[in-house]
Amino acid sequence: MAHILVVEDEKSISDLVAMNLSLVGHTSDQVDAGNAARQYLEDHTYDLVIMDIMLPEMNGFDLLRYVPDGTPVIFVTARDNLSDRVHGLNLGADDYIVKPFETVELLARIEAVLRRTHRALTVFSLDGTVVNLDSRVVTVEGRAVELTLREYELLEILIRHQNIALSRDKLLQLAWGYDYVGETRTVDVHIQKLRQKLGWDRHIKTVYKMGYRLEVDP
Amino acid sequence: MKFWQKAFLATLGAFIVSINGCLYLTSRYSFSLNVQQETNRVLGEYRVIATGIDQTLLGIDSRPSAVPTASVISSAMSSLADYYAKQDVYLALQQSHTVLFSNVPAAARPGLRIKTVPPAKDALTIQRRGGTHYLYIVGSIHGLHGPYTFTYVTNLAALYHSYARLTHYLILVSAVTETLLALALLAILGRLTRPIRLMLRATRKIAAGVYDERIRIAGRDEFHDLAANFNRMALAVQEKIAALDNAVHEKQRLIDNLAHELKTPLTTIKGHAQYLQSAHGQEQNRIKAAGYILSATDRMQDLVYKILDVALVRNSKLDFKEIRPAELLREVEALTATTLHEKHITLDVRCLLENPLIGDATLLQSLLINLIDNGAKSSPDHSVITLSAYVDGFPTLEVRDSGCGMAEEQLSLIWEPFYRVDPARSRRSGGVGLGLSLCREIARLHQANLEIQSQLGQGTTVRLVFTTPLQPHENSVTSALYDGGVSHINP
Repeated sequence: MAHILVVEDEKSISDLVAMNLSLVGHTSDQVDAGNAARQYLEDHTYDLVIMDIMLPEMNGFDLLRYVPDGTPVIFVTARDNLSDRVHGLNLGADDYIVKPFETVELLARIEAVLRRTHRALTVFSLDGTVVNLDSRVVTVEGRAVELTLREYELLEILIRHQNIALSRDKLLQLAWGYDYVGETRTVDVHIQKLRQKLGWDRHIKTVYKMGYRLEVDP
Repeated sequence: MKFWQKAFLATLGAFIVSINGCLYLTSRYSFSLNVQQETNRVLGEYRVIATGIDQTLLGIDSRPSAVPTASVISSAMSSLADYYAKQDVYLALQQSHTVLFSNVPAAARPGLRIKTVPPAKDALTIQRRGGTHYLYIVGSIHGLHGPYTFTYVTNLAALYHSYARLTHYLILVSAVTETLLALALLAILGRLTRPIRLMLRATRKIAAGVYDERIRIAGRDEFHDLAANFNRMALAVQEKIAALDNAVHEKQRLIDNLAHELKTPLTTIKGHAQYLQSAHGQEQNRIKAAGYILSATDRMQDLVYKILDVALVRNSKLDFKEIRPAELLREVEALTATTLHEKHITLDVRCLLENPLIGDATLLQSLLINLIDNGAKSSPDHSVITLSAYVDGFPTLEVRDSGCGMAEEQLSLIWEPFYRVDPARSRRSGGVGLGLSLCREIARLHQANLEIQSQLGQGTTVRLVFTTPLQPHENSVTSALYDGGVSHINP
């Protein structure tokens, strides 16, 4: 659970980011202009700042100076040229995402930055099942459960993208790696195993024509 | 080869040839005069001696001892010859093959031509023998037992020696003069070709991209004129390049802006569609996402239509007709009524323009509607927008609002496609920022000026001024110019 500031003047995109953050269990504040963002940064502490570069009043590059040291920043912008990218990263931004982006990609980048700065979720619990994401130990009602490496990877992906359906291809790509040439049936088998071992039949939903989704009530 | 080198070699060459030619011819002439003088003198002496010998021979011949012997003649000659030998003059006398007397030195002797018969006339030759020039005069002396061949030889060494010295002197003089000339020439050419080097340096700089380089050459010669013309040319190039640069930047900005305009709704549509497809979210969020998708599609639709409008206007065939201004304004009023009614804005129409305008009615309507829309967006509810037509030097259509107006820096940006005066570029007002681009195109097609006058908080006035030959004569009087914060575009 991270607290994230979203700085974006386009309401529809700001809402999009905030809605997706809340799906995976983060909380967020939304601001739409430079000066307001500065005020929020002064008054609150955030685990991550996601911001556009082209903002009213003050652009994202300038706003970066007001972000406290150690707070990671991800730029989300329509400006897709190398010099902007390099400029942004040189100024200390942690990542740079170009519009239009994929939701899953945005969440993955957010997760990566949070993990890098040790702000990511470390313990996930649901219905008596506790997953320690640091030590990789999974317990159900206090009993340790043995998971294979792939099963654990798949579990972690599902937790990181909770409430979002991921296609079998996406799951293969995320849990098995980009170059894995496997059958999507493999995913079904592993999901089946996870459901059995964790007793998550209710939580790991099969989404028709889409894939699987770990559902956690907000 | 460089120009100064060519000029240097050519000038120096011409000078060397002419100076040496001159000196050579002068010295030759002077020498030949000297030889002439010497010859005359020698001839005089020769005649004196010849006469003397003639007398002597006559004296000897008239002696009774009949035919004089060689020895008699020789002894008679030798006293005379000894006297002249001191002056480097040598004498010889011969009768047919017999040399009667000769004190000609051995060195000069090969030049003597042995002739049996003395020449009818005194023959004068100069010959070089053993490195010395000798003058030979051969003549005849009759006497009683004649004829005798008399040869007079004199040494011309002194004459030739002085000629050689003169020649040496002249060569020295010419060498020194030429050296001095070469140095002077180098200095002069260096000075004269300085402007060329200056221009060369400047052109090299300009070729390398330093377009603000200029040449400064004082004076009133051709180089000065050339530099002035060159500077004019450089200025023209500089301006052209700047204009091209500007155009490229403008295009790039347009593309950047368009990309931005397209990416935002695309991101919205894609993101929210993904949310709808895969998220386990609350119903209210799903409705919100669908709403965003719809409004983003609307925006893209507006954008596409507006871009098409601009493109169509740009390429459309114009339907120029006489338009009654009152009628045009009435139609515009009718077409904008609904929009204005929503905001309770009153449109005040004033038509003071009697004479018809020449133009495309549909396009002019579209232009006025766009301007009124812009005015309505920036005006508060219950305000008044004035639409008027009048003559102020030229026939003019004017839309005036009392809305929020624009600051000067905004005024300079309004012609940029996709620019919105609304600060956050927020789309609350719904425009895509292409309205003025469209108006500008329409104004351009009518060869009219579109002028915008605005002050922050005071409202905006837009005038379409028909400064054009398209319009009937009675409409155009001498122009009255506007001043103040006016942004012009000329067709």
